[in-house]
Amino acid sequence: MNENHTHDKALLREIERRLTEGRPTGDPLLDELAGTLPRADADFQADLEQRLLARLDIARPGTQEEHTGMTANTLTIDTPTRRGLSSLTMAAAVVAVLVIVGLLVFMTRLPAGPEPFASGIIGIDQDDTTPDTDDVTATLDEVYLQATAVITTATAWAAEREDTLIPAISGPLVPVVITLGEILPGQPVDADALAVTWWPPEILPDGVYGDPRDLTGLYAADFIAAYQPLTESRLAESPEDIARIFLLTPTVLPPTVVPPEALPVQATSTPVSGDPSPVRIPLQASPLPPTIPPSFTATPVPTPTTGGPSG
Amino acid sequence: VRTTLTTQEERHLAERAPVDPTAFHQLYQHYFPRIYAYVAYRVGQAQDAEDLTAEVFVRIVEGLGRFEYRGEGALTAWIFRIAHNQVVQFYRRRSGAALALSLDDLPEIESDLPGPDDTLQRKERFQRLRGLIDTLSPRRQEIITLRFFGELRNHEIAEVLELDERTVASHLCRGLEDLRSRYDDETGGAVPTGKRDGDREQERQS
Repeated sequence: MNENHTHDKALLREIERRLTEGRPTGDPLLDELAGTLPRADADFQADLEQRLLARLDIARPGTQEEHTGMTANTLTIDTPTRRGLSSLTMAAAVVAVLVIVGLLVFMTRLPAGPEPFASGIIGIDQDDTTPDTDDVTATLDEVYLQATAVITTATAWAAEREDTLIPAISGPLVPVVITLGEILPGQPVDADALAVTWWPPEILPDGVYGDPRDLTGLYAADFIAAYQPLTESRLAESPEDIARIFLLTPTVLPPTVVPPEALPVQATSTPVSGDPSPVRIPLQASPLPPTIPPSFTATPVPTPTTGGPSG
Repeated sequence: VRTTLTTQEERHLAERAPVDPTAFHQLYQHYFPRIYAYVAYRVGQAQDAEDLTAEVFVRIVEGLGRFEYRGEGALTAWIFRIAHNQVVQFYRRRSGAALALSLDDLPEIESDLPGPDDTLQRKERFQRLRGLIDTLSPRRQEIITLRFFGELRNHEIAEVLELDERTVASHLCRGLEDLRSRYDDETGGAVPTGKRDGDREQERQS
């Protein structure tokens, strides 16, 4: 028994050493057991992890955790669900019920005397002080109609109010980098003036950025108003690129406007009237052609190499 | 060399993985190979192993938010209890019928054994080891696969299977001896059959 116990301890130590150190022990059985490991397909392993991360997001409604690496930047907001009636609807219903009950109680006391009918408030002839059955029935119908109107109005009001309290957006959102202040053409993007917001994918403009770090070192190619998303088409990697963008834009410019030959623009040109933009690209209007054919198609103007006005 | 988590690391993963994708990635990288190897030995076929591994991790993801860390080895034991239960359900669905597997159905095998070793040889070795393990009692099969392929320590196996740690150690040693006798038998060694029967008796008693 004692010998068996010692043998067991030695065997357990041997197993532990084989598994932790990964070196063959010389015991063929232990070595084969520890050294013959099934290995999953790498693609399966990676795909499963992505699916699990997505599932983890679903399991965390309302979270704004950003995934790193290949994981999509997504945000999931709980789809609002109405569980029973809201407090507003309940309050409206209670008011309506009280109105009905009050009117019914009032009606049950009608036969007590002619006085209530003397005022004619419930449709009884002034000269006829005895309420007939038809008059009472008509009055009850009127009460029911009024009560129904009260309930309908109250419920509609409560429902409308409820809708305004429920977020209109639901489902997966994606991060979008916006600028907190306006950026003039040629200005570098200031990372401190950026913010990340979350938009539904169906309304995303093309080429938006999800990470402010991707915008480091980029310049505005166009005027970008505050709180607007930054997109690839509105940004350039250098001021020279902005000039190139303008050179290519004649395809969309009116045919009467051509870029001047003074390009490329100097990035250090003097701001005009306090405008901090370091790059200003003046445009010249050429004389109007006598006629513009209806099938006119603007073509890109070749990049000027030496002086001399183009066109 | 197999990695182990310290208690602090395990606690960190347990607490952060439900809300932090980076922590979940670490947890996944740490446990995936072990779960897959354990499941693959238990079911044999690569496709079944992938399906079961995926089910195990889906359950882990679903349960992580509710998991409460209760000391050393708790996370590992919880994860492998899920895997163990999935394997049990798998065999329950299949009604215990064993399938003949071709080498193409088997998972890829990683080997750290010295000497020339091609894919086919590794798969054959895996199949032979599975066949040997299958001859053991279900409890010993479970303990040996959890120890060698799930890389669990004895106290973690004890927690997964709700056994005493010494019982686990005893089953492990007896199971290995039993396995060794069959292994020697296959490779031409002497087989002490009387000892094997005695082991079965002891196992029934425990």
